Amino acid sequence: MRVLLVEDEPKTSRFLCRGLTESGFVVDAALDGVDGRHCIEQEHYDLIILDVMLPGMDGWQLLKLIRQRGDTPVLFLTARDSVEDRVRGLEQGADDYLVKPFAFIELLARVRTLLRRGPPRELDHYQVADLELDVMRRRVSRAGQRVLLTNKEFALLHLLVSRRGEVLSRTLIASHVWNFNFDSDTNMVDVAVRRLRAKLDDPYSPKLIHTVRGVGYQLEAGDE
Amino acid sequence: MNSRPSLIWRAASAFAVVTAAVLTIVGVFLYRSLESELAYRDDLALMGRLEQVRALLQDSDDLVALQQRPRLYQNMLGNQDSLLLVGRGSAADIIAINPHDDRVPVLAAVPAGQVPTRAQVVLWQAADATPVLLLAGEARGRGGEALQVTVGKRLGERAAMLASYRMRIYMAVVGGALSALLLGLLLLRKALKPLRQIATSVSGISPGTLDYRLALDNVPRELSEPVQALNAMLERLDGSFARLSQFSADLAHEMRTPLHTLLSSNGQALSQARSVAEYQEVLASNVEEFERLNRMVANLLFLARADHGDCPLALQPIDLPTLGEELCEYFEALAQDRGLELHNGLQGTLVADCVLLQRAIANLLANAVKHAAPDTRVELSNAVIQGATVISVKNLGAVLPPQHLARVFERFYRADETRTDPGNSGGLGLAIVKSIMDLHGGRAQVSSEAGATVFSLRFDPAVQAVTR
Repeated sequence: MRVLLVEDEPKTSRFLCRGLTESGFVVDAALDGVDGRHCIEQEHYDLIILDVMLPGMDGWQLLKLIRQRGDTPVLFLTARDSVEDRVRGLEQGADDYLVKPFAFIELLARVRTLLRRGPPRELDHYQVADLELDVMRRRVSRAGQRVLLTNKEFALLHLLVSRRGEVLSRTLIASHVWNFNFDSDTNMVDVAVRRLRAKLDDPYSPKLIHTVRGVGYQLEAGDE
Repeated sequence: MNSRPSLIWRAASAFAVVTAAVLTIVGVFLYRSLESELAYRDDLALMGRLEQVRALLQDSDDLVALQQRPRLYQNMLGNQDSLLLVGRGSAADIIAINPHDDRVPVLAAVPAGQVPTRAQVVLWQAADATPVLLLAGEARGRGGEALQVTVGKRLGERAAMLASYRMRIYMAVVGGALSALLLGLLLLRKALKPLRQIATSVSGISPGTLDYRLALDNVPRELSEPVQALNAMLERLDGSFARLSQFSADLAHEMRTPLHTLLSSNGQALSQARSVAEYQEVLASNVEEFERLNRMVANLLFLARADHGDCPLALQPIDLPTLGEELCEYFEALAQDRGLELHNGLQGTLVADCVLLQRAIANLLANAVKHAAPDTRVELSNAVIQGATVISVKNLGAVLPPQHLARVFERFYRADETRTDPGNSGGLGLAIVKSIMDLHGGRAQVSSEAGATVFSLRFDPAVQAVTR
């Protein structure tokens, strides 16, 4: 997957490049609008990440140019969290936006969602190591033993299993499981994960739910 | 003077105009009175003279002697304005005192023996345009001889006198108006002196002296109201300013704690080579601190935007039981950890911004779960009070002292000064609740007594109707 990153702040650009490369993307970085236009005109990309405030030629102009050339997914970054900016970006054909400052895994999650093209594969039945999850009958078993979960615990496990291997941020989990779309001061997600673990992981081995400190949670069967 | 209207000039000009108008009315009245009085006197004098001359002619033995003894009517001689003609016919062949040689017209004579009336006095215009009063009458000589007498008076002197009187009235009007203007200017300047003093006092007020209040004792009654309003404004400014300074100080303090942690932990980590696990530990701890700062900034931005009204509401009818259920599910795990029971008693629907309402109730629930005594019940309920929908979150536990109650919705305010809670964004949760209620035109309230603390959100029906 080839990604173009148009971002004028060198430090941000460098760490985003590194992060995306580590996650398996081929990244071209442009440090200003003119550079960005050159890349857009010369190459083909699967996704373009665009900072709105750029020297030379701003993100809105680049967005217009991209839309004239095709429907490459565009994720725009903005430092000004104003409603007008967001509406303007989405109206001009951007596919998603992120407000700075953001955590890298937030960006990664958005990028993956945009590249997935179409709804994620919804399975009826998941199996990870000795964990089995039956979505239709809402049944969960571990090592052949039935595990009883509350509705929200089931929703949380379903999210982790369906995004298996991905590190999910607390914000994303709160938004998907509880429909909470703002940063809450409470550590609710941690409490919920801890309770899920107590039922699902603590009595068994190997451990499936992993804490990625400072980032979020991940469900993976691999070694700890 | 600049182009803006001056209060003093406007009032003084009004004084001058009123004075001029009053003087004009009085002047016109006096002039007319004098004019008619003079006319009356002249008429009477003329009528008296006719009678006098008639009597003289009657009593004179001889007309010739009369002609030769002008002493009898000498008061008329040398008087340039009087006119006396006596003759046997229409010609004045006996006495002719006519200093200006006026060609007197033939007049209807008052019959002999009849007393003249004012109506018979004729006003005639002489050749030199001077008005002349004339009165003619028949008379009898001693021998019963028929004579005709014409008496007259030129009114030049009277006209001149009236003209000068008119001129004096004009001068009085103009002079009066001018003096009213000047006196008005002087007096008003003096009367407005307290206003200038107030301006001087107010202009001396700076952010450092916002506690200054204008003295009310020496202020005229009319100015006491604006001065009180100014003082009230200063009071509010002082309060806001104090809150702003306190807010900045609190903000700096709140930011300093995570910054301190970051600086010291990073410095300590870099002081010598460490294992990968140790570096990871430092980075993860950094991320937590940064997230805390980030949350604080996001909350502050939200508050700032709400203050500026730059936060459009997406109003929609919200099913309250569903919302309550979601919120209770969210806090369920945390509540169970503390042995608390969450009770969702919400009913009906409410028109509000869904995300903001969710956030407000979530902040109240977080607060309630944090402060409730273990093994008690946290209740979420709503009621309609005086037409307003009131959503309440009630928890049992230690009550908030009254001095804290009034301030719990202030930014960064903490009832417990010493509390340091790593998961907390720093005393902004309840301030956000208040902002959300302000945006909805409602009110956030708190009461704490008899072992129960109740936070309530009041949505007024009037506002609801408007925003709907």
